[in-house]
Amino acid sequence: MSMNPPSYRPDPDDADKALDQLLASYRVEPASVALRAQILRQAQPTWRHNVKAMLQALGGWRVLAPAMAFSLCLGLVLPLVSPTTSGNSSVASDSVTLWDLAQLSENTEVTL
Amino acid sequence: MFNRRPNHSAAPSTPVSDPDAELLERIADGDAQAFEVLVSRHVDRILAFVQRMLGSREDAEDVTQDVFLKAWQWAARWRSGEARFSTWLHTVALNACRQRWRRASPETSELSEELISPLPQPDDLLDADLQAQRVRLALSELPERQRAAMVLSHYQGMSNIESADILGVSVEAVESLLGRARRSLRKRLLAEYETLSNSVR
Repeated sequence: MSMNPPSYRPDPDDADKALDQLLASYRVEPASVALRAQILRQAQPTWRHNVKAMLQALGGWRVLAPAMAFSLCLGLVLPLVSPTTSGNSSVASDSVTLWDLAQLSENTEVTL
Repeated sequence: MFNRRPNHSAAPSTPVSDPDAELLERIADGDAQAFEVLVSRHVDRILAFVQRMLGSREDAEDVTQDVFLKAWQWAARWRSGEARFSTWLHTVALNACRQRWRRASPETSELSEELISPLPQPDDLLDADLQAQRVRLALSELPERQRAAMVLSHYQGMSNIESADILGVSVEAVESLLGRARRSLRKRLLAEYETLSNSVR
């Protein structure tokens, strides 16, 4: 039963105090030993960390990915733009030469 | 401080004294013992912050691990004197929480039906765990920035200037967020509480 008189008007601060009390009931357990150990295990410098650090030093994937994509495109487009220096033509000419050599060897009669 | 967005609040003109500055210098050189000291100093606060933001212990532990991994990796780039390390750590934790929210569905779906029940039973009044769960639910229903302001100010004991720095807003905006958050929580939690009190009487 309430002990307040009928004319009682709650202090506006009462609501804030009550809210603070309610909020204080929400407690969080401290970090477990396992979690602390996991965090500390992560701190050992492995090759993954080194690679990651290197990537970040180079600007991260946001910089590296477009740069790699651009390099790939450049590698594809350059041979088309300058056919005289392209790798395909040299490979093709080598192939023809080798083929000719093979034909010659097949058709050549060898007499001892 | 690490490279980050410009400070929207009153930027400190004088260097900020940071109790973690010396530790960070050692960590930058790969000193694992210094890192252990740093972790033991901050892990409970960061875990509590993240858990109150996400509402899930499991997610909070994952995020806390990521936050400290970043601290380990970025220690070499720390510029002391611009801000406190704990403020930066909270900023990283908040950003990690935001990434979680973007990836996951709304966290209200993971809350059980009994928590969503608007009118608790009188026995619940004595059950501190359930009361805490109701606070958790009420917090989770706040908009993200109001929740962050509330958790930073009420639970983490951050000043409004520090909260503004972490949230990337002005101090006035933090005050407004806190005011709205408290009004929402009062409306939600105290209404239930008074209903319970009256029913007990």
